[in-house]
Amino acid sequence: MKAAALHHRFRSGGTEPPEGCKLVGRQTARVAAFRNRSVTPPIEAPMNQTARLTAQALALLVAVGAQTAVADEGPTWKFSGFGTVGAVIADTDEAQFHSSTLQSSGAGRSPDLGVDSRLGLQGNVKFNDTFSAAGQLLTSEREGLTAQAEWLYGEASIAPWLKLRVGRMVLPVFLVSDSRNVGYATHWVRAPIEVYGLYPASAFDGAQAQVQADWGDTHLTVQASAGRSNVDIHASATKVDAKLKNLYSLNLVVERGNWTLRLGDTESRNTELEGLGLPPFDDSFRGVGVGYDNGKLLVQAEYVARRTSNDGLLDMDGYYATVGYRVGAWTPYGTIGRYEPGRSSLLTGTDTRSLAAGVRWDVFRNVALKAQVESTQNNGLNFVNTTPAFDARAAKVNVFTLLVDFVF
Amino acid sequence: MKKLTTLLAAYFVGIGATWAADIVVVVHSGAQAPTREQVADVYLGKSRAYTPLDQVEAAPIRAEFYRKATGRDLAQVKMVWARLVFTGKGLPPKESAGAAAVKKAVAADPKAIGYIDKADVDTSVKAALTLD
Repeated sequence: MKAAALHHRFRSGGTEPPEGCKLVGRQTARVAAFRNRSVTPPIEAPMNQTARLTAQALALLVAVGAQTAVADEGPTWKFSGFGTVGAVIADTDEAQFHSSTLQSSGAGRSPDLGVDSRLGLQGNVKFNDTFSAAGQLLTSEREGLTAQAEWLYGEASIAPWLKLRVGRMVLPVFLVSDSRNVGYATHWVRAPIEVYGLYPASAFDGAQAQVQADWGDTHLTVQASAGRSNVDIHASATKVDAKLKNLYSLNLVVERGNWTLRLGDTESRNTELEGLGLPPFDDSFRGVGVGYDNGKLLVQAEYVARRTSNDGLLDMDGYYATVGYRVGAWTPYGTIGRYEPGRSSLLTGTDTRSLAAGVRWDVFRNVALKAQVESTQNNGLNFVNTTPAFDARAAKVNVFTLLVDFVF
Repeated sequence: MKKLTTLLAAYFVGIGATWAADIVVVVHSGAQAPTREQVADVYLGKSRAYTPLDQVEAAPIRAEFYRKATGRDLAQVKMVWARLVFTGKGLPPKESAGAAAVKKAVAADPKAIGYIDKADVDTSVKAALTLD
């Protein structure tokens, strides 16, 4: 009897390791969870190697963070999400309208749900005042329905003015490039493709330093990034595999009151475009953007220019201006966009323009309904699966969009 | 009769306090008072000079505060924060339920900033700015 009780006590003691061991166990489980994530398909195939490295770096950061965090309160987690459900119709049989060159198909005469519909899930974890990490999985129509990590990084706040990030991040190429997928955060149905369609990659794998400074009520943010990105470009009737192996980006944002000013330069050295038969070239993509929002009136304009080292074979300029005005829960808006390929450009198409009018209706908090009517022209990037006849005449197409944006 | 009048007066003053009273921005007693522009920037995520505290979403004072301090309604504020949250730039202010909770949190943190009804201001916090 006594022996059995003792044995029982011994066994139950054996299954409950001492406090210290339990923490190690929990950490190992967490690291393993991150390792497992790195080998599951969500991360795009071409980025697998880098993604695995990123995940391992993150796992290390998580482990370090967890260790530090045990001392005080432990990590704090926050989960959130955003999404869009929408349908698009374009009045042509000869081509399909898409919202990004990452999409291999688009909308024709029958309603297409793939152009704008997407779902983003995000997790933020703060280990302590220094270390944090974030991940965002975006499910959208690219080459079929895909899920890929748009963000997956570990962050260290070295000082109140300096942050360092390692992992996958959105490349800051435009004024609202980092929030273009979050439809709820913008007034329009989608960012104008005359500008936002000109940079193939949305995210990169690498490192980023972010410096913040304040002068009175003027706030300055500078992001310096370096890394790499591989993407497939789907445009007109072709598919090109773009390898941006040496990416460097400098992004400067000045905010004061209702004004935002953005200047940026994204450089890609020895860019390879497989499928175009071009030798590697240097790509320089610069942009300037300005935004004003006083709560009622919203104005935003951007200009971007690409200059390439191969005698300007891929030079292009794009710009847009948009104005919106809020009346209660309604925000009617209008946008004009223009695209100009360089004079010696390889690309099909000539100067094209688009004109869009739409309205955002904030149905209730967290949900917005939007409708947009747009007249656009084929510029070689905004349409896919085109016929030769369509490409030959810079065809004009009307595009209708109805969608719901939400956050949770 | 006099008693009833006093009661009625108190009732109406009370109602008035809920809907039209001034909102006071409060900070830690040792902290510097912010300007109106700073308050707007902090609550719209542009400045990190203070750590902002919100009241709960259903509280009428929250909508009134944002209207007076930033000129934006709650849906627009939500839009601003959606952009910041999903771009890794920051998380929205933490919520405190009621003036007492706000005062307690502000009194405990030299960087904290909150807003309460003028009638709830006491010596535990510094009344930094009145929004009317």
